[in-house]
Amino acid sequence: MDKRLIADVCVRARGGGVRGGTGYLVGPSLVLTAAHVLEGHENVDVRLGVDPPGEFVRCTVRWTSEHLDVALLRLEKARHCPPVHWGRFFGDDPQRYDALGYPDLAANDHRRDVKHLQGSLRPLDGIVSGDLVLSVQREYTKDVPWNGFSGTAVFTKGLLVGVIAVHKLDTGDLRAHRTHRLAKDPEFVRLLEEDTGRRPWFVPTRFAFLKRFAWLRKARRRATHRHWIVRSTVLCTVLAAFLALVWPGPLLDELRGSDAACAPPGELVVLTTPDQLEAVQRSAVDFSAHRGREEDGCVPVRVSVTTAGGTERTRELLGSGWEDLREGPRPHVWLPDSTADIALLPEDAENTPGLTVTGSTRITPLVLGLPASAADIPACAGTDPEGARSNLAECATAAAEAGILLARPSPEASTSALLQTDALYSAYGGPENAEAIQLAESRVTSAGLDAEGNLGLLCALRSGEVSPSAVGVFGTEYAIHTYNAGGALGPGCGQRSEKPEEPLVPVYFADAPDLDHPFVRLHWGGDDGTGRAVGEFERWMTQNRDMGSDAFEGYRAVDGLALGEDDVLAHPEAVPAPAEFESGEWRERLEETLHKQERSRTPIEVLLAVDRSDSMTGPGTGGTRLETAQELARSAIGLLGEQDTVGIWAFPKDGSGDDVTEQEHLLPPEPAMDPEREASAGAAIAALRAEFPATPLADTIRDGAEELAGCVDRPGHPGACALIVLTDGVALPEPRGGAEAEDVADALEALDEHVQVHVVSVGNEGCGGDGLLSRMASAGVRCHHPRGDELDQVVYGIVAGLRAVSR
Amino acid sequence: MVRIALAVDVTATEESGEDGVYMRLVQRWEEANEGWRVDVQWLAPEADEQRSQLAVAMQSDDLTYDVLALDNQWVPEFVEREWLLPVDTENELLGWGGFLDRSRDAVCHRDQAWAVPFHMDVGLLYYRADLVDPEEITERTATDGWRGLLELAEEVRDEHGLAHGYTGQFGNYEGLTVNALEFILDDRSGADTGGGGIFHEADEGGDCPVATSASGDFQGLRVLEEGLNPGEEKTGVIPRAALEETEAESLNRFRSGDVVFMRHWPRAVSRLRADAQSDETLQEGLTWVGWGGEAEGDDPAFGVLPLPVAVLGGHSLAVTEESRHPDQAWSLVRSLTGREAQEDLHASGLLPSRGSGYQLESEDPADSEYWTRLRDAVEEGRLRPRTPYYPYVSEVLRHHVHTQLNPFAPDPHPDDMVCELNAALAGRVGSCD
Repeated sequence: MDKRLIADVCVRARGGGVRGGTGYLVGPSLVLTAAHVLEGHENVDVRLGVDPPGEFVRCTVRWTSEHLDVALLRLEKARHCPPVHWGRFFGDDPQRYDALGYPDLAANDHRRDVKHLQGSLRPLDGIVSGDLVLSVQREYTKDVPWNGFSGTAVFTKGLLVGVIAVHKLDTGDLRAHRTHRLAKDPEFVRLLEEDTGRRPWFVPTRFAFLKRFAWLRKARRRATHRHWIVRSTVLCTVLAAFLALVWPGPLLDELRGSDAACAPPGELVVLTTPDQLEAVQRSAVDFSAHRGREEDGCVPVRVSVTTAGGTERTRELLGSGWEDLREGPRPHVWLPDSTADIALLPEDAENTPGLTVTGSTRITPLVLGLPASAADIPACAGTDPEGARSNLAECATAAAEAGILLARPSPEASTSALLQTDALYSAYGGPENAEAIQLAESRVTSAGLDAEGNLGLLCALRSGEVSPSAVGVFGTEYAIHTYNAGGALGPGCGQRSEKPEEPLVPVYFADAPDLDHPFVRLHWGGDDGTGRAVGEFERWMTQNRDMGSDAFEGYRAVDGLALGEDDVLAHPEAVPAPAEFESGEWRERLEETLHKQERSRTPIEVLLAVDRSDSMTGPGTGGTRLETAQELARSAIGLLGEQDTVGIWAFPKDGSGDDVTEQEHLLPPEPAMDPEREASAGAAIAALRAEFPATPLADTIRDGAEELAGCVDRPGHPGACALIVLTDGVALPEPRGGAEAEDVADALEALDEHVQVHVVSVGNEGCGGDGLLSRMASAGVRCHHPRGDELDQVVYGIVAGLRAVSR
Repeated sequence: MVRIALAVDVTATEESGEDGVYMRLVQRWEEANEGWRVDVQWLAPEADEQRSQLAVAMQSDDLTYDVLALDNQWVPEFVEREWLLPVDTENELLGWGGFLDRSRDAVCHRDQAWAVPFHMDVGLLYYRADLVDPEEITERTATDGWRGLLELAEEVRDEHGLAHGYTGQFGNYEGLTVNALEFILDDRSGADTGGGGIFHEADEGGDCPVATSASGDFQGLRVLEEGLNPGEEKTGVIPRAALEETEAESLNRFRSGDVVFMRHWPRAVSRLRADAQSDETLQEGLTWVGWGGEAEGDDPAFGVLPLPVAVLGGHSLAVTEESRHPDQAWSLVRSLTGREAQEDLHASGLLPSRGSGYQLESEDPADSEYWTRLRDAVEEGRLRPRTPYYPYVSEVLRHHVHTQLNPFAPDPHPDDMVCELNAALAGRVGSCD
């Protein structure tokens, strides 16, 4: 749409009275408008352009069609008119439109002004009348005055597809007659050809790019003396097209590539979990290529795959309407691990998008991966998916009794871990068996490894923190397969050239459901025209075995057969029916399991000490160092339950000068992390400001260690305690008269094995060299300097390790 | 209210972005335009996600922005999708003639400007001035390009016992595309130098040509590959771990003294200088010797020089086709890209897109020299392939580079890479098996 061609039409009626309409310059001297605007006219004036409009000039009515309610006005003096591209609204998806005219509702101070209307045209709207429907009810009431908007040209993808003719008072919408019907009117075509030198060509909007080739359709009359050239060209084109269809190889590509530009692909956003990320990304690439092959080679859609901070954060974002775009774009599709994830969405959240769940995309069984050298435990004999499966609780007990340490991801952050935990606890019945559940919980976390997901946990195993020959890992068959194949296990755990010396043997359980990875469409309101692409992607994902992609190698199709080219998984004869997770019942059940799990963990005490010296305003990961420390503190608190004890210190204590050596005890360590205390802890952390000059790091470590000495005998009976100091390690100068590394070493030496002291660097200072952190590490402090994407993992590791010690 | 979508402000220290230069410029416009407010929507930190967010927003009915901050390489795609209004470069208030040639090239498509350059970025070579002579660096790179640089890195590493010679951003994200392009685009013709990977532009490209095809054997990648995986008997001059590293990790590696050379953006200069100058660190820090400077003693020091080939980054501001307030939107864009704003960008360590932003008076001649050379580096920098299919092209390139550099991945097929790049440059699926 070219604003210079918009025409303000002023009609003086016979017998007096003036009314307005809108038009569009479609040739050097022809203005298109609605015929009914001109009814009973005595004379007609138009002015062109809107920014600013030109002078009114007189014109004559050259042609009208009462049937189509369209007219052509002729200007007395021809103007420069860039080519107008005519179009035929065509396609399966809604398409955006533009319409700019002079309705009365835009009038300002009795002066006519323009209104730029934009929205979407839907293919099925107006299918009976054949008109285009401009739904404007959302923004305008039914009775607003649209007079003057008649004759406005409607554009889609730069093509003139309609002329507004009707305001439907009953529905409030505007109707536009389709311009391609004009092609059947020989007089209209003749006038256009005469005025512009070319016959109007109505390009389907789906192939809008073809408008660039409109110049090929020169007027017949001008080309008469070159008829033979035209015919030869046509013949050659037909021949080339035939060759392109039948002749494979480079010529085919060249011929195709030379005459058809591809539109940039549309954007589809898919949300999934860290465990699925890599496989879904590979599948998305294959999908785009597959769609391209279906669409004459052009890639019609690009799929961006995101995890938005993990499973827990995903639930929060979906529940809160995804307002913060820093987490990534609002997704069109959600591929959670399990239908249970849907059941776990916040209840009654106002801003949750509409969900359409359309079935499983693939499955992966929940398993226990046992080291091959220890895979002969009878209770864990279900290593063959074709044979009898084991009982999860019995196998876990037997494995622990055989001396195998076990690890499982955090159930708060991993749905597979939550489902396994639910199956484990189910074996022990009701609350009267709390002690048995507590024992079972201690067994399945005895390795002291933790992570947000199954791949992350196997990454921790691969890193060698514990001996792989002594550890069994709860996870999925897919994750175990990836680990055994030396595949990538997420951030910091790239592909390996060698397979692990001690591969894990999956033990299948009869009482744990498979992950069903459902396909969920998300509806955020509005329409972005991606409906068709989402449908195609759904078909791709749910019928992936037939699509020739090996992206999901290691997973199984819903019938249990392995996906991918390689026959890497044993084929079961029968697959357990997928579990059904009714929202209400399962939300309650899984939330109860989560509560049980929190209660059944052996109690620990965590004293968090946060550096609030002014250097903490320096850049950290995703904000200042203080903000990074606050985020880590919140993560640590999130891993604690009501049986645990938490305390919060900030250092230095309120005061000026470099020599403050004390801390402020914001929340003294007390047991029972009930919601109220959790809220208090959250508020204390949020209120921290980095505005003090002193950094009594050594003093804080020494004092914190002394605070925790003998902590296991205190109320709450924590089995183990930890001081976690969050700092950037910058202390220039260190406080005069403050503690030295030797004092810290003395304090740490007095501690027993149930007390740990950790320092996590949130700045640039590492644990090596000759800096303060290095000296603290030499004194016995466990120093961590994680990368940005390893921050959470450090906290998971500290808390899981502490719980292991507490047992 | 005018809605603007902005990428994360690297000059801000608070997560909210409120203390960064972007917000200061926005607030200045608000103060000068009483009654108007700017609704800033911050996007995700990763460039790939930013583009995706903008594309999704522009596709939808109800998430309309008036102004978009675009990575320059997205301009052709957004133009082809008819999401942007053309820039009236004749408007005197805009001062179009004051922008650097390269920054104007970066926003041009179909012989028209579709966005106003905001700030630029260009890769620089950071070197340990206490360990290596800058003249030798210049000489080696001038003669042998990347191969010369990596050989020098290896020699200095071994001589001084450092862990590694060179590092960059080779994680599998847009950084890999940029770092790999810098090797690919090196067309120095010395013996075994490599090079040979070329993106061709359409013949009828006009003032702002579009990349339509690729050819060559992309030998520059072999140089990079050998730097990472030289064989069983040697240690790579580039750390293998760099294959998973981004800007933050490479900076930490250089800052901690593990490496002789680093490829990074100019903003790392201020970070490294802060280490050395402020009380904020216990590390000794690296003393800044300026552009091509030499260390005065044995204390750790660093300087910067041009890379053998540098790829440009940068952001521009575009007004959307759907803007409900185009006049105010253009006014905001003019304000954010005006001379005064460019001085603020300079002061914040960002590279202005106007030439005047590099000519500010400074008491320190080394500082003036640095900005002058920086301007030269921008003007000599190479644009990434300009194509409406850039995200797809980048993904294809990245996939093949990652496969080639990863010693555990299946054997790469260079012919497939050229074939698939050619398909991607046409927005098509490659049928290259």
